[in-house]
Amino acid sequence: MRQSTALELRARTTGNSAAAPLVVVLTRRRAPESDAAVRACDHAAESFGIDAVALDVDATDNLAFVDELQVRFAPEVLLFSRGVVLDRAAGMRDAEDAFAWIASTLRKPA
Amino acid sequence: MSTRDETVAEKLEPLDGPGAADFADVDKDLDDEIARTLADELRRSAAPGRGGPHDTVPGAAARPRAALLLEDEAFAQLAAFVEAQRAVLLDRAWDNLAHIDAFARALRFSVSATPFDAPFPPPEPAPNRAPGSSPPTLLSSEPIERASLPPTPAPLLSRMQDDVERRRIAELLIPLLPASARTRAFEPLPAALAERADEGFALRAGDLPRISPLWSAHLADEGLIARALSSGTRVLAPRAACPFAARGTALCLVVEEHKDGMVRGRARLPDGSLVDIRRGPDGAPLRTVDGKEQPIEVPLDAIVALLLGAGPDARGLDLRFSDDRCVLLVYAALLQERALWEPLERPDALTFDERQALVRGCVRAAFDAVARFSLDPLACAISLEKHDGDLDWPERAWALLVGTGAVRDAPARALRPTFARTAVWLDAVLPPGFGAGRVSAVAAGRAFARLVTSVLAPLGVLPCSGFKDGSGSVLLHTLAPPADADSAPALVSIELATFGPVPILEPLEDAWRAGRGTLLPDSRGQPQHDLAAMPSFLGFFLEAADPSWAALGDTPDGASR
Repeated sequence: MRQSTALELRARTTGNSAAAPLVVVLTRRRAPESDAAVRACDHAAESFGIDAVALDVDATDNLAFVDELQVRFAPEVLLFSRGVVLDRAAGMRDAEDAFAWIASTLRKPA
Repeated sequence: MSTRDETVAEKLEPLDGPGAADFADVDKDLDDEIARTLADELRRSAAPGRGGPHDTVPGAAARPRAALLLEDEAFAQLAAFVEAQRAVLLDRAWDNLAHIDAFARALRFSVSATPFDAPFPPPEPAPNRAPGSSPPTLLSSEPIERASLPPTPAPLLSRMQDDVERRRIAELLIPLLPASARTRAFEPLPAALAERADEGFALRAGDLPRISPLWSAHLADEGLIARALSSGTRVLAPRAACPFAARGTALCLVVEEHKDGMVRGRARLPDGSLVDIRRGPDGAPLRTVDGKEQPIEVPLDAIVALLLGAGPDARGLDLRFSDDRCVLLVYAALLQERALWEPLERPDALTFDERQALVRGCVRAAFDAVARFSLDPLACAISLEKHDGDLDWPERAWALLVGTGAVRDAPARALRPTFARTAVWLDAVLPPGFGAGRVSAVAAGRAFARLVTSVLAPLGVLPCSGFKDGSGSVLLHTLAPPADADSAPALVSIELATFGPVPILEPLEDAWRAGRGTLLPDSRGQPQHDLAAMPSFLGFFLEAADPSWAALGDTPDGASR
C-alpha cells in the first residue's frame, strides 16, 4: 500500500477526484496492528477496484489533518467518497471483515 | 405404501369405468405438482444462506430462523450459562474481572465450542527462550481421552451465518460485559420484524402510516424562510460574521431584523451572553476603514444556505437495500409502540402544541430506531488500563480475552506509558450492517440522516450530514407551521444527533459546549432541501414504500391515480 500525505489527501477528498471511493489507513510505524490493517484493507480494496493509501499518524505534517478528523486510534481506517467520510473503523479484524465492511459501506454485493 | 397412498388408492378403486382415465390424469397432475413442490423446497434449502428454516411438510410456510435458534442445543447451553452468570454477577457489579471471565468463557464457547469450565491457556511464553532449550513437553493423557469422546459439534458462530442468529448471540453476550462496556443499549428487533429477516425485510402493505399531507402543507409556502426569521429567532450564521462567537465553522445568531436581503442580529456566546458588534477571534472589535465598529450582518442567502443545506452526503432511504428497509420498519414499529401512528394519519383533531409534540416524538423515534437497535463495536469494547493498586487485573483480563481467539486490540493513537488495551470483539460476532446490528457511529449517523430525509423532512425536520470531522453527526433544523392565521412559521429548534459510545440528541449549543458538531459541512455548492417539493415527495416516498398505496389509486379501467 502506498504511503500518502495529508496534503495529497486533502486534495483527493475535496477536489475533482473526491467522488471516487478511497480507503485511508492511518498507521503507526513498527506497529503490528497497523501492518495487519494495511494488509487486510489493501487486499479488500483491490478486490473492489478502489484505491487504498496509508497515512502516518505520527508525521508532523499530517497532524492537523489527523486532528481535524478526530482520529483516536492507530490504526484507524476511513472510507472516503465524494469528500465525505462514509465510515470509519478502529483497525480491521482481517481481509474478510475488511471486504464485508467496504461492501456494506459502498453497498456493493460482497 | 404410505397411509396417504392407500387413501388415494381406495378412492380410485371403484373407478374402472369410462371416467377412470380422467381421474388418472388428475392424479398424475397431483403427483407432478407434489414433485415440483418438493423440488422447489429442496432447491430453496440448498440455496446459499437459506439452509434450515423449512418444515418437513412440503409447501408449508418456512419457519423463522429465530424460532429454530431456540431449538439449538449449543445456543440453549449458552443461554443457560449466561443466565446463571448474570445471577452470580448481580451482586458483583464492581468486579470487572469476574464479568470479563464470564464473558470470555461465553465468547470462547460461541467461537470454538470450548466448554465453559475449560481453563484458559496460560499466557504465551516470552520469545527470548534460552538457546538450546527445548519447548516444554505436555505430559498429559488428554489426547487419549479425547479420542474416546464423541465428536464436538461445530461452534455456534461457524454454524450460524445468518444475521438474526448472530444478533441473538451478541444480545446474549452483552449482559456479561463490565458496566463500562454496556453504556449503549442494544435492543433486539421486535419479534414480528425479526421473523421477516429471512425475506430481507421486504415491505408489505400497511407497514407504514399513511401520513396526512397536512403535515407538510406549510412547507409549500414560498415566503416560509423569510417569515420564519422573525425577531428573536436563533439561526446559524457563517463564522466570518463574528469569529469571536463562532464555534468551528459557524455561530449562533439571534435575529433582530432582516431587510434588503441582510439579516442583522446579535451573536450568542457559549455562556449565553450576546455580542452585538463584530469581533475578531481575540475578542477585539473588527472596525471599518474609518475606525467604526461594525454591526453583525449576514446576507439572507448565507443564512438560508445553512438552514436548508443537506450536506454533501445528502440522500434518503434507498428501499432496494435490506438495511434501509430494516431501519424504516424499526422506525414504523416504534411509531406504533409509542402511539404516534394514528395521529400521523389523522392530525385534524390535534392542537398546534400537540402537533409539535408529535413531530418531536417522531424525531425521537427515528433517533431511537438507529441508536437502540444497532451497536458500534467501539461502544461495547472493553477498556483495560493499568492503575494504582489494580493487582494486575487488567493484564489478567486481557489474557482471558485473548484466549477466546475472537478479541483484538484497538490501540489508541495517543501513546501510553503503561499497559492499556481496547478489546474489540463485536466484529467477530456480527457482520457490518443495520440488519445485522453492527453499525459504527458514522454509519449510524448516515442511516439516521437517510431516515430523517425520507420520513421527517416532509414534516419540517431538515437534516444536514457529512460533517468535516467525519464524526457522522447530523444537524437538524425544525421548522414549525404558524400557530394561527396571525402568526408566522417558526424555526423551533437546532439540534445535533451524535452516535458515539453514548448516542445523544441535544440542542446544538449544548453540543458545541462539549466540543461536538463544530465542523459543519460547507454550505456552498451542496444539495439543499427543496421545501416546495416536500408535500409531493412525501406522497411519492410512501407510495414507493407501501404497495397498497398504488393499488388504492387504481381505477377499473387500469389508469393509475
